[in-house]
Amino acid sequence: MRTFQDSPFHSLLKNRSFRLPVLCLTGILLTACVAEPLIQLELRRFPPSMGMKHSKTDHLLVAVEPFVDARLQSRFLGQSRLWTGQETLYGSAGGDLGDVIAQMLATYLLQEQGWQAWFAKARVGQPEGGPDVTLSGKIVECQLDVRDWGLVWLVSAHATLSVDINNKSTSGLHQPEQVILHGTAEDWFFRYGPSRLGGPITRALLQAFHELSEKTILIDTTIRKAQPAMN
Amino acid sequence: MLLNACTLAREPSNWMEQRTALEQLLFSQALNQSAKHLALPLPPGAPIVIEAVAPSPPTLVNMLRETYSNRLGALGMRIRKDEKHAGYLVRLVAETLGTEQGLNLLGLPSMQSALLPIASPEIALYRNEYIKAMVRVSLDVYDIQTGQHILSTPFYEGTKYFNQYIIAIFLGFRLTDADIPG
Repeated sequence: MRTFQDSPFHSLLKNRSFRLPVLCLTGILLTACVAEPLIQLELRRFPPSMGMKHSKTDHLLVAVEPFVDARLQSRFLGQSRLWTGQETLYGSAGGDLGDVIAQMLATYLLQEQGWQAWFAKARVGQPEGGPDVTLSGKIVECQLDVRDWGLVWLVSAHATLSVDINNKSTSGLHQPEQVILHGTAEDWFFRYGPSRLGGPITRALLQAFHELSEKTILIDTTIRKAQPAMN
Repeated sequence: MLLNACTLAREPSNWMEQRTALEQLLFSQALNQSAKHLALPLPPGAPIVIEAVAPSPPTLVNMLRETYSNRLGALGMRIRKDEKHAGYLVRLVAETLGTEQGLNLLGLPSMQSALLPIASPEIALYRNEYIKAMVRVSLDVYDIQTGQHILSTPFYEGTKYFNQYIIAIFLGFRLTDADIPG
């Protein structure tokens, strides 16, 4: 029967010049076997390049209502699994994901579009006459896929939002217009920085928000769904 | 002897003492830098009352509150003195708010002789004296009437540094990202 003394690992340890590198490598591998059960990712941190833009449309009042979480598996953003079988689940810091995404969209519209946008969780302090446009919607998909490549993780994020646009001037006359927004992002990480996994999903969401300006047009104080170009 | 005298010191600022003009300047600019990209998605003209909490002395906390009040006022919020006339409570929570300084010296520090009434000057092959101001703040917003938590922002950060170097005893220069008068 083979014992530890017969194994090549033991002969490596006996060799003094190999002892330190082998022990270091073993330490790294053992540390890699430890997984935190749940990590809350910070999604609301926008890239630093994002700056205040002054727009001619800064009079537009837009209220963004909390999004409904319509994901099939709605508790977590994703999960990673180590080769030892240990799993880490990723959630969203800052509370309910529907609130977090609506807050992000309001901040995006405020900063990037220059609109007077706000997160309408409470009705306090709303301007007289209310908002020109109310955005509401649901989260169809907001997911993080983690592929384990040894010490490196390849991470891909997907976000799909269904946004209902309710214009004050046409409410009652028309149904709210609906646009579907998609965003994807990919990145790789050294596995010891899992808290940075919020980056790809934030970028996927920002890409989805950017689609809102591509798929809609602004007419006076209304946001209308843009008609697809006819070829 | 020179290598034995190498020191690596890190000295926290003494809260009880008055800050130097340079520390005050770095701190103020770091605070303004943190507030520069502030965006709070609340209705325009919303009446708010501002609170600030930080593990720092009251003067710095007051300065934090005033800087962010100014910025939120510029964004269109109406700042109220008491909660009776406000719709939202905006609580500024600072993770860090202050300055720190340190010294790296490769050489011989100045020494006082025990026998003779003379002091030897510092002989610095490399000397780096640094001051760094750091601000990290997030905002939590509550509905005053119901106490409901409405939103929390990510951290807004600002840093400013001032490094003063001496190389080969005489060659001195400084590096900074702060706007220093004079």
